[in-house]
Amino acid sequence: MKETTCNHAQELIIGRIDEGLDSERNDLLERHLTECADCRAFEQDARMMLGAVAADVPSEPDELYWSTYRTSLDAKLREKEPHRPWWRSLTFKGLAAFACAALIIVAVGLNLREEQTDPPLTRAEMATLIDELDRIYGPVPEEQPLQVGPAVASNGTISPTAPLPPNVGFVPWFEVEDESDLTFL
Amino acid sequence: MTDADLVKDFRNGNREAFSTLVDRHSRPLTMMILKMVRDPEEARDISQTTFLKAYENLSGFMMASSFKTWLYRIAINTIRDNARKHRPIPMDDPPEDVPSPQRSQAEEFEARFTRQALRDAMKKLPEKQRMTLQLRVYEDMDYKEIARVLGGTEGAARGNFFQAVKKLKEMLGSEP
Repeated sequence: MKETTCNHAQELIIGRIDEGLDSERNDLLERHLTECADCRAFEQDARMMLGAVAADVPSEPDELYWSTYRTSLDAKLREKEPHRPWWRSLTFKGLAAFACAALIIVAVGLNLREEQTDPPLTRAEMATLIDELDRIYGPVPEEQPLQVGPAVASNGTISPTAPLPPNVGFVPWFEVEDESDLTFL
Repeated sequence: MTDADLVKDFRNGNREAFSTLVDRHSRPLTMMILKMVRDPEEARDISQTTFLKAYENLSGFMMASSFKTWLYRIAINTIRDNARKHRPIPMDDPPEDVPSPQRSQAEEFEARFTRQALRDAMKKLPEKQRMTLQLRVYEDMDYKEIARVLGGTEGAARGNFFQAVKKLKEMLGSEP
């Protein structure tokens, strides 16, 4: 009977050291302890022993330990990471910068294209163009010297305008009035 | 940002969220492991393996418990696996143990002798009892959380703690 009581008392003792007891169970244990020297010794030893266990902790390692720990753990974690396509590694800022650069390149390219002069025509293209212009406006008369203003003949007479080529719609730039009947001179 | 938020972020593809979880839990987790294995290098290996397992399995984490509890459970299982591979667990006195201040040389000698006896006795405890005692004393975990980490029920965790203290007391006799 005493054995069972001591077993129960030791359970209560450990409970009291560990978490504390409610008043009812605490009173029950106190009544037992007043009668049982073994359980009183048990409680004293258990308190000292658990105190010794709690005090027996290794000291925290130094900072070098923790930095090595983190570096090697990060390396191991990187090995575990799934392979990602290269474009997934681009950050949002990187993508934005890339898009801006692409826009600038396109804009500059378009501007250059607008300013670019047409390449010179080849001989064949030039001949085709002349033929087309001749078809629309008629052929240009060959080697017709254009004379503007009054013409002086070899005998010294002056005519107001030179004879115009037949196909040139030339308007004389001035007309000389016939002054032969001006008597007042 | 809570751990649960970070877990959700990670699942949505934000790998940096896991880095934040490592920042948050790596030191306390490694210290818990160190208290159990008593070897800094082994503690580092186990802690890193724990995070690697968590990284690989986080998508399957149902969030039935907290991330911390889940992480500690992985760590405990890794300690168990490691102990099976490399028995016995090194429990020797590490040189970097800090001596308690305000102790005379004689008291320190006596304390260390008792500490060694205590460690030897703890090594002889059944695994679950020893881990329950360590989680309760070192990590101040309640029995519900211990049950989640080690598996089993809250009542079983309580029983394991009681058995661990009682057996330690028997092994150490009346020595303080």
